[in-house]
Order: sequence, then C-alpha cells, then structure tokens
Amino acid sequence: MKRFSTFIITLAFTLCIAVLPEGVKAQDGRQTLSQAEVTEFTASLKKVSSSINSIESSFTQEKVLQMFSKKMVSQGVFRYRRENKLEFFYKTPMKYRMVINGPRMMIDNGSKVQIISLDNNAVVKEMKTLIQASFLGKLHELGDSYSISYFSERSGDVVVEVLPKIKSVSDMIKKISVTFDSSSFIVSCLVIEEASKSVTTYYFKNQQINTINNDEDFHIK
Amino acid sequence: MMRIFTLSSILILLFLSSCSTLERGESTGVPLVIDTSAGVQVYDLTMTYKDVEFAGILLLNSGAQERNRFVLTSHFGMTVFDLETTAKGYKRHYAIPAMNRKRVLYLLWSDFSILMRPDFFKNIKYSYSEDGKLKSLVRSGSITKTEMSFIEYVDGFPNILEINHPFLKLNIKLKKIENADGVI
Repeated sequence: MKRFSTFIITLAFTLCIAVLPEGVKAQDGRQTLSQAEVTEFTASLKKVSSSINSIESSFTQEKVLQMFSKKMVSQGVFRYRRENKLEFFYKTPMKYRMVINGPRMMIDNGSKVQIISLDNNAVVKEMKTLIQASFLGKLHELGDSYSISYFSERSGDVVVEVLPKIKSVSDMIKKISVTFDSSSFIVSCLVIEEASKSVTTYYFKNQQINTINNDEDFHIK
Repeated sequence: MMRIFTLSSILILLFLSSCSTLERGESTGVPLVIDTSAGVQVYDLTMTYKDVEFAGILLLNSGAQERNRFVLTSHFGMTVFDLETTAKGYKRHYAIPAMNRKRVLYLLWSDFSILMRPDFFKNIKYSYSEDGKLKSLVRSGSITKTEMSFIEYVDGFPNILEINHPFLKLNIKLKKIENADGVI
C-alpha cells in the first residue's frame, strides 16, 4: 500500500509539472516567459533602447576558475555609444582597454596598442554582434545562428539566454545570459559560460544614460 | 583573440622539426623562480610573435606529485588554455580551437614546466648572479631552443620572467601581479 501511495504521489506530482503551462514552470526561481510576454518584452526593450544613445557604467568582472576553486576579479568602466562603439576600460588589477568602433577593435595594454580588423575574425565579430544586440535591445534579431530563451526572475528582471549554434562560437562559448533590469530595461549582468567550464560574469552598475556626447573614448588611432 | 589564431597558425607552420624528448632530471639544486609553496601564482602575460601580440593573465599552480596546472585567460575572461602536468607529460583540460595543436601546447607546457622547476629537463645551462640567484638559462634544441631570463627579484623570486624562442621569434614576458589576493 505504501508503494502504491508513493507511486500515486509521484505520478500526481509529475503530471502537475507536465501540465503546467510553459510560462508557469519554475526553473531555479525563474519562469519561462510566454510568447505574449516575450513579444511585450522585446517591444518594450526596443522602445527604450531607441531612446538610448549612450551608456556609461562601472563594471565588475568575475571569472570563476573551477580548477582552483577561486575567483578572478577585475573592475573598470564600460562605455557604449550608438551605433557601434564599445569600450571596456579595465582599471584594476591592471589597466587595459578594449575599444570597438565599427569594423575595428583596438587593444591597449599600456605599453602597446594593437588594432584588429573584425572582418577577419568571425568569433570576435560574433561577440561584438552579441554585445551590441544586448545593448541595442536587438537580441530577437540575432537570427538562426542562436537559440534564444526568455525568463523572468522573481525580482521581475528578464534574463535572455543565448545559445550559439555556430560551431566556431559554440566551441568556445556554450551560453550567454543577459539580465535586463525590470524597470530600466538596461543590461545589468552578462554571464558567459565557456566550453572550458569556466564562467565569467560582468556586473554593470551606476549606469548613466546619454551622458557621452562625443566619440573621444572610442577613437582608434 | 585574432592574434592567437594568427600566432598559432604561424607556430604550427614553424614547428617542422620534432620536439626534444622529455627527460626529467633529478633535483640538481637549481633555485626556483616561482614560489611554488605559496598557492596559485598570477602573472601578467604578453606573448609576442614578430609584430603579433597577445596579452592575458597566466595562473600557475603547483599541485601534488608535480601535477602543476597552467591556465591562461584573456583580460576579458575567456580561458585560452588549461594544461596540467601528468606523469607522462601533460593533460589538456581545454584549449581554444586555434591553440589546440599538439606541438603548440607541448611548447607552452615545456616552457611553464621549466618555470615551475628550472631543472625539469636535462639539457639546460644556467647562469647565476653573484648572490646565487638564477639569472638566465638556455635549453638547447633545434628550432625550439629556449632562453629564459629572470630579473627584479623580490623576496627571493623574480618579478619579471622572460621566455624567448629565438628561432621561432616567439617571446613570452611574465610580470608578477602584485597583491594577487585582490585578483583571485
């Protein structure tokens, strides 16, 4: 009798989970957005992002190194300016700048400046596409190269999970999760899960909108 | 990242001659250049091939029974490679596709193994400063000839370590990151 009860409880539980609508299924405290919610979110995101010409924020980068059970932490300033300009300016533990301006990327390590054409590197180009799509609110326009899922957190924040389908990208990156603040629709967190099983998280704070008025910070020599 | 692709592609072409056979020497009393007793050691790495340069963060960790771990990440967080020394050589935990070439990884593993234990191979000649610190070493070889120099000693260990493969025109410069507790 006890076995039968256990079976019935298990069956009932399984059926409950199975028949729950997609948008109600809990997943680590998250809920999958329904199609209507996704449409509403992407429309709101597009509307908000269309009014954003620039973003400047501080960021903290945390890389979890499973092999050492440790975390590497870097901090700096992130800048974005429409339409295709990005800057990651690392200030600690070392000064390091990465600037993307159109089809070119510049890396300045303090002693040497390198300029790289993104047209020649598919992977870096994809990374740029992903970051820009996040900040421009165009993740839904990434196309067939990515599988995209939308979730809502308990806080109301929306998490967009992007799975690369292109082998050259998925050989390095397994998943990118972008968290959008529930009220501002600005990216607050970016998590990159690598094929190496390491995870890098970027936290963006103190976002200032439309405060950058020129391209000085994005100038590539 | 593109630099790595370019660098590794060129390296692969250049690695035409076979690598030296691994011969681990007995401890010869050659002083260490990495503080292997102090946990994970963190270095700012700059790798240069001709005018191609890549920079990242190198983590070296001394494990039990010489199962040392060498991990290179880019400043932006991506893991470039993750190697572990084994009894028979090394185990590749991960390498980005562009670097996932046996001879490239072998060269990196042998370089970092020498850093962890300067007498790791037999065919090495050493040069010492007057106070007995290891100043430089040369590992003979054909195209993979290796030169290393160690400067700016602090608390018994060099802050700047340089690896040079003159025939490959490959140079790796390591600068110890101070106050690494804030990094990892």
